[in-house]
This record gives sequence, structure tokens and C-alpha cells, in this order.
Amino acid sequence: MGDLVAIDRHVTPPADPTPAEAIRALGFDPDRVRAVVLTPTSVVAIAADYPEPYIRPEA
Amino acid sequence: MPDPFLDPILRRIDRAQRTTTRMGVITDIDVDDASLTVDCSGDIITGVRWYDHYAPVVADFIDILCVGGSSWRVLGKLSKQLGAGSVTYGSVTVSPSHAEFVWRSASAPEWSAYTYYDLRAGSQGRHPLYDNTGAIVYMFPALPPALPSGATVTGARITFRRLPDSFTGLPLVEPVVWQHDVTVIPLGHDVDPPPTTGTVWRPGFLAVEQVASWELPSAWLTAWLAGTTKGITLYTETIADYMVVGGGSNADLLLSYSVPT
Repeated sequence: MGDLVAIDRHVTPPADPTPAEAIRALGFDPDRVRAVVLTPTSVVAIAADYPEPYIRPEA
Repeated sequence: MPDPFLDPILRRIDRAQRTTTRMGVITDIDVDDASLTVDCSGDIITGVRWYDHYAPVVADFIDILCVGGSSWRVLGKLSKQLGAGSVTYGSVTVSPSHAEFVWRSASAPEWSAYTYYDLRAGSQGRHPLYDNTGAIVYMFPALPPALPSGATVTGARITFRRLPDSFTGLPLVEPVVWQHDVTVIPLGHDVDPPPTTGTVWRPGFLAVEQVASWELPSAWLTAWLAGTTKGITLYTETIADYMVVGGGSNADLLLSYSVPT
């Protein structure tokens, strides 16, 4: 009977993409969007220069 | 037998044929493989690599270089796609699917709900004479199906229209707007209070019979697109905020967007 051979099955998983990489992979320029919303059927983004309204704090 | 005159020329021709440049548009980015798919006037080239200094984006118009006859690399991004715009712009109006009016009074303190004859109408605030407190809960269809996939929303404006009433109220009154996450309110007596989530938003003032629209807060739009917000509620318990809204275009949401061409 031969010697047992230990097999190194350790596999280094690929690094998770950064948020910017993930946004690029969805087809958007991360510098030009402030949010990306992914649903089962579509992906849409909100532009970085979206005109944000002022929300007055409640008294 | 090698030809000392012809062979160098053939080698040059071979190199020239194997090293070429093309212009094209990125149609897909494979992050795992770190490669691009590029459409060069209908010729689809896959496995295109890029150098570290370039961050590829779908719809970028780029020059690519073929090295060794089969390996493609991005030379760089062109400042503008020649002969065509890189994006097109569009807009779509999303109207509420319906509204439910919720109210209570001193004599009937439990909340009641019913649908107005005008499917967008109702009052917010406390009526100073009848002591009714009202709220309007607007239900909307899901927003993403209204937009082309890949769209970037550049603006989202919501419209309110103030109607005349037997009690005029103050000359200028603000819509008092909340988000909600319900899809239906059972009509009848003894229903739950008006649904609200998050912070209140007072976009601006309305005179009687005035129609105005305001840009929606981006966090609200994000929640709305993601489906965690289903619509809005106009709700306040204050006499100074009493007003009636309704009619065509009231509570319409106008979405402006761009899409890569």
C-alpha cells in the first residue's frame, strides 16, 4: 500500500469586485451616478448631478 | 529556399496584417475575465484587454489595437463618438394607479378609508370647521418597468394641484409628503392610521388652483425604484396645512433619463 498523499485543495477565491468595479460591470460610469438599483429584470441608475431638493428639518 | 530579397518584404506584410487598429463601442465588460466585448461596426470582438490607466465603461467609444493577429488591447477612449451621440434622452410620466382618502373626526375618532370620486383627490390637514383630519395615500405602479434597462435617471419631478374648497384655507399651503410601503388599504371604518415611513418632505407652497412640481429627493427615488417605497402619503394633523388637491396631473411623477445609444 502506498503512502497517503495529502492534497492541498486550498483555493484562493477571486477578490470581490469593488463597488466601482461592480457599477462599471453593470454598464455605468461610477463617477456619473450616485446610486444604482438592480431588480430581477432591469438596472437603472440615478445621475450624480441629480438636482437634490432641500429638505427642511421639521421644527 | 529562402529568398533574401522577398522574405523581409513578406515578413513586413505579415506583421502589418497582424497588427491593426479598429474603432468600436464597448458592449459588455466581463469583470471576472477582465475583458471587453467591442462592437466595431457590426464585427463583435471579444476578449479585449485594457491597461490599468483606463477604466472601461459600457458605451465608451474606443480605439483597439490587434497584437499578434489575435490579441486585442484598448489604445484609449475617444472624446466623442464620431457621427453619433453617445446617449439619447427621454422622459416618462408615471401616474398613481389610485388613491385612497383616509380621515377621522372628533365624533368618529377611528380612521376610515374610501376612494374619492376623483381618483387623485383628497385633503390633507385638519378642517377647521368640521374638525376632520384627512390624508391621501397614493399607490403607484412599480417604477423600473417604466424605464429602459440601463437608463440613468437625471430628474424625477412630482406634481401637485391644489383645488378650491368651501373652506379656502391659507393663501399658500405646502404639501406635507411622506413615503409609504403599502400596496392596498382596506376601505371602510376602523382602518389603520395613514401609512408613513421615513422623514417628512415639504417641497414648497401652492396657491389655490395652482399646479406645481418639485424634484423628488434622490433617496426617495432610490427607495421607490428599489420597491421599498410604494408611493406617497399627504398627511398632517395641522389646520394651517389644510388643503384639497386633485384633478388631472395631480401626483404625476415625471422621470427624465438618458440611455447609452
